[in-house]
Amino acid sequence: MLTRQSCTKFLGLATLCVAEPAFAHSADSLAGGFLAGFAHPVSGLDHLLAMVAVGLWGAFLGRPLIIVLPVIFPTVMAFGGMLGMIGIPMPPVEFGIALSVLLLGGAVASGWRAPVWLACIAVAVFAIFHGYAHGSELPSMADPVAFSLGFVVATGMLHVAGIIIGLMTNRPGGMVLVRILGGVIVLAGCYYISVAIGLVG
Amino acid sequence: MTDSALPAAMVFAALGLMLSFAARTTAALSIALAVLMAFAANAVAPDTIVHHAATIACWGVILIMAVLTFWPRQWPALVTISVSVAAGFVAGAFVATAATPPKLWQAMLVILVALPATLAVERGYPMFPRVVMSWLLAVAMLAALLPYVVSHPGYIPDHRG
Repeated sequence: MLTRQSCTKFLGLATLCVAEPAFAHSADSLAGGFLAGFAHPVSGLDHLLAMVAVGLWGAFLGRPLIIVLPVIFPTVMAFGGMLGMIGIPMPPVEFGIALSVLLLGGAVASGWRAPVWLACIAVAVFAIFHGYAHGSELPSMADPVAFSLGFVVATGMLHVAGIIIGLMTNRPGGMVLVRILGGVIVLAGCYYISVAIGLVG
Repeated sequence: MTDSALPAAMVFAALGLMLSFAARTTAALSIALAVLMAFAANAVAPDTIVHHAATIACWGVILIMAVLTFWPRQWPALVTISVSVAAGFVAGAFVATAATPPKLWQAMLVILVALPATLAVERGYPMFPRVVMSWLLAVAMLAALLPYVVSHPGYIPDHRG
Protein backbone atom coordinates (compact mmCIF):
# COMPACT_ATOMS: atom_id res chain seq x y z
CA MET A 1 0.00 0.00 0.00
CA LEU A 2 1.39 3.37 -0.97
CA THR A 3 1.41 5.93 1.77
CA ARG A 4 1.19 9.68 1.40
CA GLN A 5 4.60 9.99 3.10
CA SER A 6 6.36 7.70 0.62
CA CYS A 7 4.81 9.59 -2.30
CA THR A 8 6.00 12.91 -0.89
CA LYS A 9 9.51 11.53 -0.45
CA PHE A 10 9.62 10.18 -4.01
CA LEU A 11 8.34 13.42 -5.53
CA GLY A 12 10.72 15.51 -3.44
CA LEU A 13 13.63 13.38 -4.59
CA ALA A 14 12.49 13.65 -8.19
CA THR A 15 12.33 17.43 -7.94
CA LEU A 16 15.89 17.54 -6.64
CA CYS A 17 17.07 15.28 -9.46
CA VAL A 18 15.71 17.49 -12.21
CA ALA A 19 17.01 20.76 -10.72
CA GLU A 20 19.52 22.36 -13.05
CA PRO A 21 21.64 25.51 -12.93
CA ALA A 22 20.00 28.58 -14.45
CA PHE A 23 21.14 29.72 -17.88
CA ALA A 24 21.06 33.34 -18.92
CA HIS A 25 20.05 32.39 -22.44
CA SER A 26 17.72 29.49 -22.99
CA ALA A 27 17.26 27.49 -26.16
CA ASP A 28 14.21 29.57 -26.97
CA SER A 29 15.22 33.15 -27.46
CA LEU A 30 11.67 34.48 -27.66
CA ALA A 31 9.27 34.92 -24.79
CA GLY A 32 6.37 32.50 -24.45
CA GLY A 33 7.09 29.34 -22.51
CA PHE A 34 5.39 27.58 -19.64
CA LEU A 35 5.35 30.60 -17.32
CA ALA A 36 3.89 32.90 -19.98
CA GLY A 37 1.18 30.32 -20.64
CA PHE A 38 0.55 29.85 -16.93
CA ALA A 39 0.24 33.61 -16.45
CA HIS A 40 -2.22 34.01 -19.34
CA PRO A 41 -5.43 32.84 -17.59
CA VAL A 42 -4.25 34.00 -14.16
CA SER A 43 -3.37 37.56 -15.21
CA GLY A 44 -6.67 38.15 -17.02
CA LEU A 45 -9.34 38.63 -14.37
CA ASP A 46 -12.13 37.72 -16.80
CA HIS A 47 -10.52 34.33 -17.52
CA LEU A 48 -9.75 33.80 -13.85
CA LEU A 49 -13.28 34.53 -12.65
CA ALA A 50 -14.87 32.30 -15.29
CA MET A 51 -12.53 29.39 -14.38
CA VAL A 52 -13.22 29.76 -10.66
CA ALA A 53 -16.95 29.99 -11.42
CA VAL A 54 -16.78 26.68 -13.32
CA GLY A 55 -15.22 25.04 -10.25
CA LEU A 56 -17.73 26.67 -7.90
CA TRP A 57 -20.66 25.58 -10.02
CA GLY A 58 -19.27 22.05 -10.35
CA ALA A 59 -18.86 21.77 -6.57
CA PHE A 60 -22.33 23.19 -6.11
CA LEU A 61 -23.89 20.69 -8.53
CA GLY A 62 -22.00 17.74 -7.03
CA ARG A 63 -21.40 14.41 -8.74
CA PRO A 64 -20.90 13.80 -11.61
CA LEU A 65 -20.49 17.45 -12.67
CA ILE A 66 -17.87 18.24 -10.04
CA ILE A 67 -15.55 16.08 -12.14
CA VAL A 68 -17.13 16.27 -15.58
CA LEU A 69 -16.99 20.08 -15.87
CA PRO A 70 -13.24 20.37 -15.13
CA VAL A 71 -12.61 17.57 -17.65
CA ILE A 72 -14.83 19.01 -20.37
CA PHE A 73 -13.51 22.55 -20.07
CA PRO A 74 -9.81 22.02 -20.96
CA THR A 75 -10.64 19.48 -23.65
CA VAL A 76 -13.13 21.75 -25.42
CA MET A 77 -10.88 24.72 -24.71
CA ALA A 78 -8.21 22.95 -26.76
CA PHE A 79 -10.73 22.71 -29.60
CA GLY A 80 -11.39 26.45 -29.24
CA GLY A 81 -7.64 26.99 -29.27
CA MET A 82 -7.43 25.12 -32.56
CA LEU A 83 -10.10 27.41 -34.04
CA GLY A 84 -8.10 30.38 -32.80
CA MET A 85 -4.87 29.10 -34.32
CA ILE A 86 -6.47 28.42 -37.67
CA GLY A 87 -8.14 31.82 -37.52
CA ILE A 88 -11.71 30.63 -38.08
CA PRO A 89 -14.02 33.65 -37.61
CA MET A 90 -15.99 33.63 -34.36
CA PRO A 91 -18.53 35.89 -32.73
CA PRO A 92 -16.75 38.59 -30.67
CA VAL A 93 -14.53 36.58 -28.35
CA GLU A 94 -14.27 39.26 -25.66
CA PHE A 95 -18.06 39.39 -25.50
CA GLY A 96 -18.24 35.60 -25.24
CA ILE A 97 -15.74 35.56 -22.37
CA ALA A 98 -17.59 38.39 -20.60
CA LEU A 99 -20.86 36.52 -21.07
CA SER A 100 -19.29 33.39 -19.58
CA VAL A 101 -18.29 35.35 -16.46
CA LEU A 102 -21.79 36.79 -16.15
CA LEU A 103 -23.75 33.57 -16.73
CA LEU A 104 -21.49 31.23 -14.78
CA GLY A 105 -21.47 33.69 -11.89
CA GLY A 106 -25.25 33.93 -12.24
CA ALA A 107 -25.60 30.16 -12.08
CA VAL A 108 -23.60 30.07 -8.83
CA ALA A 109 -25.37 33.10 -7.32
CA SER A 110 -28.83 31.76 -8.09
CA GLY A 111 -27.94 28.23 -7.05
CA TRP A 112 -29.21 26.94 -10.38
CA ARG A 113 -29.20 23.15 -10.44
CA ALA A 114 -28.94 22.69 -14.18
CA PRO A 115 -29.43 19.26 -15.77
CA VAL A 116 -26.15 17.48 -16.46
CA TRP A 117 -26.44 17.79 -20.25
CA LEU A 118 -27.23 21.51 -20.13
CA ALA A 119 -24.40 22.31 -17.71
CA CYS A 120 -21.99 20.38 -19.96
CA ILE A 121 -23.13 22.21 -23.10
CA ALA A 122 -22.99 25.63 -21.42
CA VAL A 123 -19.48 25.08 -20.07
CA ALA A 124 -18.30 23.62 -23.40
CA VAL A 125 -19.58 26.65 -25.35
CA PHE A 126 -17.82 29.05 -22.99
CA ALA A 127 -14.65 26.95 -23.12
CA ILE A 128 -14.51 27.52 -26.89
CA PHE A 129 -14.33 31.29 -26.37
CA HIS A 130 -11.63 31.03 -23.73
CA GLY A 131 -9.66 28.55 -25.84
CA TYR A 132 -9.98 30.79 -28.88
CA ALA A 133 -8.43 33.69 -26.95
CA HIS A 134 -5.50 31.54 -25.81
CA GLY A 135 -5.11 29.80 -29.16
CA SER A 136 -4.96 32.93 -31.28
CA GLU A 137 -1.81 33.94 -29.38
CA LEU A 138 -0.29 30.49 -29.42
CA PRO A 139 1.42 30.41 -32.83
CA SER A 140 3.53 33.47 -32.01
CA MET A 141 5.02 31.86 -28.93
CA ALA A 142 8.62 30.68 -28.79
CA ASP A 143 7.68 27.38 -27.18
CA PRO A 144 4.03 26.79 -28.01
CA VAL A 145 3.87 23.36 -26.35
CA ALA A 146 5.15 24.73 -23.04
CA PHE A 147 2.81 27.73 -23.42
CA SER A 148 -0.15 25.37 -24.00
CA LEU A 149 0.81 23.28 -21.00
CA GLY A 150 1.10 26.45 -18.93
CA PHE A 151 -2.33 27.81 -19.72
CA VAL A 152 -4.05 24.42 -19.49
CA VAL A 153 -2.48 23.68 -16.08
CA ALA A 154 -3.36 27.18 -14.83
CA THR A 155 -6.94 26.73 -16.06
CA GLY A 156 -7.18 23.35 -14.35
CA MET A 157 -5.78 24.71 -11.11
CA LEU A 158 -8.28 27.57 -11.14
CA HIS A 159 -11.05 25.00 -11.52
CA VAL A 160 -9.64 23.08 -8.57
CA ALA A 161 -9.48 26.32 -6.57
CA GLY A 162 -13.14 26.94 -7.43
CA ILE A 163 -14.06 23.41 -6.39
CA ILE A 164 -12.22 23.76 -3.07
CA ILE A 165 -14.01 27.04 -2.35
CA GLY A 166 -17.28 25.48 -3.57
CA LEU A 167 -16.96 22.60 -1.11
CA MET A 168 -17.61 25.14 1.62
CA THR A 169 -21.28 24.62 0.78
CA ASN A 170 -21.10 21.55 3.03
CA ARG A 171 -20.38 23.79 6.04
CA PRO A 172 -22.86 25.96 7.90
CA GLY A 173 -23.18 29.31 6.19
CA GLY A 174 -20.97 28.11 3.36
CA MET A 175 -23.79 28.09 0.83
CA VAL A 176 -24.55 31.76 1.44
CA LEU A 177 -20.87 32.66 1.13
CA VAL A 178 -20.52 30.78 -2.16
CA ARG A 179 -23.63 32.44 -3.57
CA ILE A 180 -22.35 35.85 -2.53
CA LEU A 181 -19.12 35.01 -4.36
CA GLY A 182 -21.25 34.14 -7.38
CA GLY A 183 -22.91 37.56 -7.05
CA VAL A 184 -19.51 39.27 -7.08
CA ILE A 185 -18.63 37.35 -10.25
CA VAL A 186 -21.93 38.50 -11.80
CA LEU A 187 -21.02 42.13 -11.07
CA ALA A 188 -17.61 41.63 -12.68
CA GLY A 189 -19.37 39.98 -15.64
CA CYS A 190 -21.64 43.05 -16.03
CA TYR A 191 -18.55 45.24 -16.12
CA TYR A 192 -16.83 43.06 -18.75
CA ILE A 193 -20.00 42.97 -20.86
CA SER A 194 -20.23 46.77 -20.77
CA VAL A 195 -16.57 46.99 -21.79
CA ALA A 196 -17.10 44.46 -24.60
CA ILE A 197 -20.04 46.37 -26.08
CA GLY A 198 -18.28 49.70 -25.64
CA LEU A 199 -20.35 51.25 -22.86
CA VAL A 200 -17.26 51.61 -20.68
CA GLY A 201 -13.88 52.60 -22.13
CA MET B 1 13.89 25.41 -32.19
CA THR B 2 11.90 23.75 -29.47
CA ASP B 3 14.05 20.93 -28.23
CA SER B 4 12.72 20.60 -24.72
CA ALA B 5 11.96 17.20 -23.27
CA LEU B 6 8.38 18.33 -22.66
CA PRO B 7 6.58 16.08 -25.19
CA ALA B 8 8.50 13.03 -23.92
CA ALA B 9 7.85 14.05 -20.33
CA MET B 10 4.15 14.41 -21.11
CA VAL B 11 4.13 10.91 -22.58
CA PHE B 12 5.61 9.53 -19.38
CA ALA B 13 3.18 11.57 -17.27
CA ALA B 14 0.24 10.17 -19.26
CA LEU B 15 1.72 6.69 -18.90
CA GLY B 16 1.95 7.10 -15.12
CA LEU B 17 -1.66 8.27 -14.95
CA MET B 18 -2.89 5.44 -17.15
CA LEU B 19 -1.02 2.83 -15.11
CA SER B 20 -2.55 4.09 -11.87
CA PHE B 21 -5.70 2.24 -12.98
CA ALA B 22 -3.86 -1.00 -13.84
CA ALA B 23 -3.08 -3.93 -11.56
CA ARG B 24 0.22 -3.60 -9.64
CA THR B 25 2.05 -6.32 -11.56
CA THR B 26 0.84 -5.03 -14.93
CA ALA B 27 1.89 -1.50 -14.00
CA ALA B 28 5.34 -2.58 -12.84
CA LEU B 29 5.91 -4.66 -15.97
CA SER B 30 4.62 -1.85 -18.19
CA ILE B 31 6.94 0.71 -16.61
CA ALA B 32 9.93 -1.59 -16.95
CA LEU B 33 9.18 -2.29 -20.62
CA ALA B 34 8.47 1.37 -21.39
CA VAL B 35 11.79 2.46 -19.88
CA LEU B 36 13.60 -0.31 -21.73
CA MET B 37 11.96 0.64 -25.03
CA ALA B 38 12.72 4.32 -24.47
CA PHE B 39 16.42 3.61 -24.05
CA ALA B 40 16.36 1.23 -27.03
CA ALA B 41 14.64 3.80 -29.27
CA ASN B 42 16.99 6.46 -28.00
CA ALA B 43 19.91 4.33 -29.12
CA VAL B 44 18.69 3.42 -32.59
CA ALA B 45 16.26 6.17 -33.56
CA PRO B 46 18.47 8.95 -34.99
CA ASP B 47 19.10 7.14 -38.26
CA THR B 48 15.62 5.81 -38.79
CA ILE B 49 13.00 8.16 -37.43
CA VAL B 50 12.27 11.75 -38.25
CA HIS B 51 11.79 14.13 -35.33
CA HIS B 52 8.52 15.47 -36.67
CA ALA B 53 7.03 11.97 -36.91
CA ALA B 54 8.21 11.17 -33.40
CA THR B 55 6.58 14.36 -32.10
CA ILE B 56 3.26 13.52 -33.74
CA ALA B 57 3.53 9.98 -32.36
CA CYS B 58 3.98 11.44 -28.86
CA TRP B 59 0.67 13.31 -29.14
CA GLY B 60 -1.01 10.24 -30.67
CA VAL B 61 0.08 7.92 -27.89
CA ILE B 62 -1.11 10.46 -25.26
CA LEU B 63 -4.51 10.44 -26.97
CA ILE B 64 -4.65 6.62 -26.81
CA MET B 65 -3.61 6.60 -23.15
CA ALA B 66 -6.27 9.21 -22.37
CA VAL B 67 -8.94 6.99 -23.95
CA LEU B 68 -7.75 4.02 -21.88
CA THR B 69 -7.78 6.15 -18.72
CA PHE B 70 -11.30 7.45 -19.27
CA TRP B 71 -12.68 4.07 -20.30
CA PRO B 72 -15.04 2.92 -17.53
CA ARG B 73 -13.82 -0.69 -17.56
CA GLN B 74 -10.30 -2.02 -17.02
CA TRP B 75 -8.47 -3.03 -20.19
CA PRO B 76 -6.76 -6.42 -20.59
CA ALA B 77 -3.17 -6.38 -19.34
CA LEU B 78 -1.87 -7.04 -22.85
CA VAL B 79 -3.40 -3.81 -24.16
CA THR B 80 -1.91 -1.79 -21.29
CA ILE B 81 1.52 -3.33 -21.79
CA SER B 82 1.43 -2.81 -25.56
CA VAL B 83 0.51 0.86 -25.21
CA SER B 84 3.23 1.30 -22.57
CA VAL B 85 5.82 -0.19 -24.91
CA ALA B 86 4.67 2.15 -27.69
CA ALA B 87 4.80 5.12 -25.30
CA GLY B 88 8.34 4.30 -24.27
CA PHE B 89 9.38 3.90 -27.88
CA VAL B 90 7.99 7.22 -29.14
CA ALA B 91 9.33 9.13 -26.12
CA GLY B 92 12.80 7.67 -26.66
CA ALA B 93 12.64 8.38 -30.38
CA PHE B 94 11.53 11.96 -29.79
CA VAL B 95 14.45 12.66 -27.48
CA ALA B 96 16.94 10.92 -29.77
CA THR B 97 15.94 12.86 -32.88
CA ALA B 98 15.88 16.34 -31.30
CA ALA B 99 18.45 18.76 -32.71
CA THR B 100 19.93 19.21 -29.25
CA PRO B 101 18.74 16.08 -27.45
CA PRO B 102 17.54 16.66 -23.89
CA LYS B 103 18.27 14.08 -21.21
CA LEU B 104 15.93 11.11 -21.51
CA TRP B 105 16.08 10.21 -17.82
CA GLN B 106 14.77 13.64 -16.87
CA ALA B 107 11.65 13.07 -18.96
CA MET B 108 11.34 9.59 -17.47
CA LEU B 109 11.24 10.89 -13.91
CA VAL B 110 7.80 12.33 -14.60
CA ILE B 111 6.47 8.77 -14.50
CA LEU B 112 6.66 9.13 -10.71
CA VAL B 113 3.30 10.86 -11.05
CA ALA B 114 2.01 7.27 -11.00
CA LEU B 115 2.62 7.18 -7.23
CA PRO B 116 0.20 9.91 -6.12
CA ALA B 117 -2.18 8.89 -8.92
CA THR B 118 -2.23 5.28 -7.69
CA LEU B 119 -2.73 6.54 -4.16
CA ALA B 120 -5.70 8.62 -5.33
CA VAL B 121 -7.26 5.67 -7.18
CA GLU B 122 -6.74 3.34 -4.20
CA ARG B 123 -8.31 5.85 -1.83
CA GLY B 124 -11.38 6.09 -4.06
CA TYR B 125 -10.58 9.31 -5.92
CA PRO B 126 -10.06 8.13 -9.52
CA MET B 127 -11.22 11.55 -10.73
CA PHE B 128 -7.90 13.20 -9.88
CA PRO B 129 -5.76 11.25 -12.39
CA ARG B 130 -8.55 11.63 -14.95
CA VAL B 131 -8.71 15.41 -14.54
CA VAL B 132 -4.93 15.70 -14.94
CA MET B 133 -5.11 13.39 -17.95
CA SER B 134 -7.66 15.74 -19.52
CA TRP B 135 -5.08 18.54 -19.19
CA LEU B 136 -2.48 16.45 -21.01
CA LEU B 137 -5.03 15.54 -23.66
CA ALA B 138 -5.87 19.21 -24.23
CA VAL B 139 -2.20 20.13 -24.69
CA ALA B 140 -1.63 17.14 -26.99
CA MET B 141 -4.58 18.19 -29.16
CA LEU B 142 -3.28 21.74 -29.49
CA ALA B 143 0.32 20.72 -30.01
CA ALA B 144 -0.59 18.16 -32.68
CA LEU B 145 -2.13 20.92 -34.78
CA LEU B 146 0.59 23.52 -34.26
CA PRO B 147 3.05 22.48 -36.99
CA TYR B 148 0.29 22.63 -39.60
CA VAL B 149 -1.09 26.06 -38.76
CA VAL B 150 1.45 28.76 -39.46
CA SER B 151 5.21 29.09 -39.38
CA HIS B 152 5.87 30.41 -35.91
CA PRO B 153 8.99 31.17 -33.89
CA GLY B 154 8.89 27.96 -31.89
CA TYR B 155 9.50 25.85 -34.97
CA ILE B 156 12.13 28.04 -36.61
CA PRO B 157 15.65 26.92 -35.71
CA ASP B 158 17.57 29.59 -33.82
CA HIS B 159 20.19 27.42 -32.15
CA ARG B 160 22.07 24.36 -33.30
CA GLY B 161 24.28 22.26 -31.11
